[in-house]
This record gives sequence, C-alpha cells and structure tokens, in this order.
Amino acid sequence: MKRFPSVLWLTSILLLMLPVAWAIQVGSPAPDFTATDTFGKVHHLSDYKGKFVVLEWHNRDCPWTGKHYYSGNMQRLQKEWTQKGVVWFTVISSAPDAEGYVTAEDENGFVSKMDASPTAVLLDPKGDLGHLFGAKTTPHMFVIDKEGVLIYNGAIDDKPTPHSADIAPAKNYVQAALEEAMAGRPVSIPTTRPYGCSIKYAGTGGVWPK
Amino acid sequence: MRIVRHGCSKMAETVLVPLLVLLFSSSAVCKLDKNADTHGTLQLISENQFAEPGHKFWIGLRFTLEKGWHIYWLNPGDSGEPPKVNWELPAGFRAGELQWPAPHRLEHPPLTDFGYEDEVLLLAQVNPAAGLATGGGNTVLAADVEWVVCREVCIASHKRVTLPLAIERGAPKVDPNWRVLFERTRAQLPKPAPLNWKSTVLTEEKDFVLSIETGASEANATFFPLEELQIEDAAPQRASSTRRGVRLTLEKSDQLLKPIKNLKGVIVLGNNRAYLIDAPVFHNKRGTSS
Repeated sequence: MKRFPSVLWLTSILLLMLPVAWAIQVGSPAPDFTATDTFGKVHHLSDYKGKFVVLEWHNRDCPWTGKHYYSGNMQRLQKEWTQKGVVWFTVISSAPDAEGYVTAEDENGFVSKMDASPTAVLLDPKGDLGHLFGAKTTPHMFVIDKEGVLIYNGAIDDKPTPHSADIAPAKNYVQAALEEAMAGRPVSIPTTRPYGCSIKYAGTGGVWPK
Repeated sequence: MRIVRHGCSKMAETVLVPLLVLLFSSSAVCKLDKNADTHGTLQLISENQFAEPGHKFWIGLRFTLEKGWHIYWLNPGDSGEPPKVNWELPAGFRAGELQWPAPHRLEHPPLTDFGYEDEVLLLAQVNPAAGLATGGGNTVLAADVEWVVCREVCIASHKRVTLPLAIERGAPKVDPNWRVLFERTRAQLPKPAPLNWKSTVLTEEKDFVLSIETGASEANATFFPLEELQIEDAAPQRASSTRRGVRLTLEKSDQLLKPIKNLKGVIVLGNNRAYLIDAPVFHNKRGTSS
C-alpha cells in the first residue's frame, strides 16, 4: 500500500487516456505491452527483443477475416513466418457479448480446427492492447522489428474485399514488409489503410444485432 | 424483375463451403450473402419511364437499409468498403461514372466511418445512342453489385439487379414514384467548388488547418477526405467561422509519414451544401508548399 497503488493509479489513468490521445508511428518504438494468451501465459513485447513480431487483429466472424482464414491464407503466412523465427500474435479485442468474442478454450479449438499456427492468441476483451496500438479493423496488421521498432501498420494486402478470389492477385504487405526487413532493407510500403470490420471494442455498443 | 442471388458465391464453389461443412456445420461463420436482402434492399431504378435515343437520363442504385445498418462511401473511413458496381448494359447504352451523394459521419468510438444510413441512391447518367431502334419491347439494364452492409457486424452482399426499360421517342416522362428521390439525391451530390473560392491548408505539428473562403461567414463545416491515411477519421473536426468562410482543424493521421501536397475531399457546409475541394498544403509560417 505504499508505492504500488499510486503507480497503478497512474497506469490506469494513462490507459484511460489512450484511445485517442496516443499515436503510434511507424519508425518509432512499439509500446511494450503485457497480455495473456489462451493458455494463460503472459507475454510482454519486451520478451521478444531480437525477434520480429507480427500482430494480427482477429474476429473470426468478420467476412474480411474469414476471407483470409477459410482460404488458408492467414495460416500459410503464420506457418511460413513463425518457421523463420517470427513471433506471431493473433489478437482478439472483441468485448464480451460482441461479435468475435471467444473464450480461451473456444479459440484453442478454432486454432486447431483451422490449422492455424500463431505463436499465441492474445485475449484482449477490455481492448487495452487494441487501443494501445490504435488497431481499427480485423484484420489490422502490425510488424515490429528486432529492435522493437514498428515497421508496418496497415492492411494485410492491397485488395480490400471479402472475397478469397482476390487473395492470389493481391500484393501482401505483411509478407513484403517481413521480406524487406529481414533482408536489411527499409520497408517500402510502411503504412496502408487497414481494411475490414471495425473492431468490436468494449463500450462501442458492439453487441450482436437482434 | 429477375434477381439472381449469389450466396457466398465465389468462395462457395471453391474452398469455403467444403471447409465450412467440414468444420462448422451450424455456425454463423460465413456471413456472406446467403440472403442479399438481409438488413436492406437494393433496387435499380430509372428517373424516366423510358429511354429516348440520344438523350441522357439518370438511373440509380437505391439502397434502403434497416434501422441501424449502414453502407459506405467512396472512402469508407476507418472500416468497411464501398459498393462495387459492374454495369451490364445493352448495346448502345453507356453509363457515366457513379455519382456519390455527400456521406455522413458514422461514429462508433474509437472509430468513424463515412457512409449512409436509411436510404441512399447512387446515381449514374446513362447515354443511349442516337441510332437505337425504338418500339421493340423492353430492353434490360443490369448491375452486378457487391457491397457490405454493417451495423455492429458486417454482411458481405452480392446481387444482380435489373431494370426493364422501353426505348421510345418523345418527351421524357419522369417516373412519379422516383421524381423526388432523384431530385433530392442530385442536390446532395458534391458540386465543384466555385472558382472564386479559396481553399488552403496550413500544416501544423499534429493538425492540418483547412481554410475555405466562400465569400461569406460559414457557421459549420465537415470534411470528408477522398484520400486515405491523411487525417484521423475519428478525430473531432473543430470548425471556426471566419469573416469570409470557415477554418477547420483536422488531426493528422498517425499513419501519415510523408508531407502531402494536397488535401482532396468533400466539404459539407451549412444546409448540407456539399462541394469538392482540392486544397494545396503549406507549411505553417514559411508559406512554402510541403
């Protein structure tokens, strides 16, 4: 009851201020975060210094997310890049009762059924992680380099449709950013408009329509 | 009127349905257009009751949406996607560019989209060739439309809408059912800004300050950007009246990494007067183009 509570107070006040006030800029260090995955393991971004980290905002019931999962595209990317040492976090920021909200158990079932291979799925029902990064849509993608600097913020590719037929002809921005960064080159397209469904954050009335 | 419904069409035939059947026999995972009329209807309508060779006329895609549901403008804002239209017109008919009425801000913090609720008509002017034969019964104009309708959830939809229309000579006859809707919609189309207006943007650290001189003080203004990633769509736009117009403070997008030369978009002033503007961007103080 001496120093801790005041630190906590300050943190919560800062967190409350986050949604609009804080910008996260490509080229700047990504904010460290603490988040819990579907197996109860706690992850800090700072644990992964020295590795590339991908954040993928996810809502399985969103048609644009469905496009990349039911075609197997997202799983292919996850597999390819985690095999190359990338840490891949799928993040679910849907509020309880909102579209896309899942329990840890349900999500683990989904991951295994879909043959997905993220490093972990982070559950963010309060939206803290989403607000910290300014995540807007599903799928909204972020890439962080080995030094912890944000190097990509935007869409998964350049075809903002919900149709799987548009995957093959699309330019995949995440793929391109990782390839360039791993080859030691600057990311040529570091920001794009993240397409998709809005993230169903707590407090946004993001409940299922009746 | 023949309506073809494509339920989950493109994916259905390939990978989606087999996978779904395999994995989620009863779940609501596939929210694609199983029923294109869910949460609204789409019609293709004509202002005139018949087409006259050599005379342009207006047709429109009329979306009527259930309460709480919306579709998107050309630039959808933070999420969503605008409708995509592929015209299928008979020989001798040409459609002009799709005309979008000024959108509305659809705010669901922390995000803001740009789009339409309730009812909207997307317009196109059709030009039937002067040499078209008349009196041969109805010809059919059609549009293959893909759109996304959202409330808190989004439904991808796909429908082919058709419009049977006779080709006749004589003075155009306006369809009384649609007269008001077409007139009202045309009034909502952004007009090119008058040549004597002056629109400029000063760039500050966090904001763009857009000044528009219309010649008279303007009480309010809302800006809808045509380019992505220039301004923060959800940020409040602070308008202040000036003697000869209005000044609007627009927060820069977090994702804007390079200076921009122009801010292009639709400005909506009092009484829903909508104009297209393309304002050059200057660095504050120095007055040099950035």
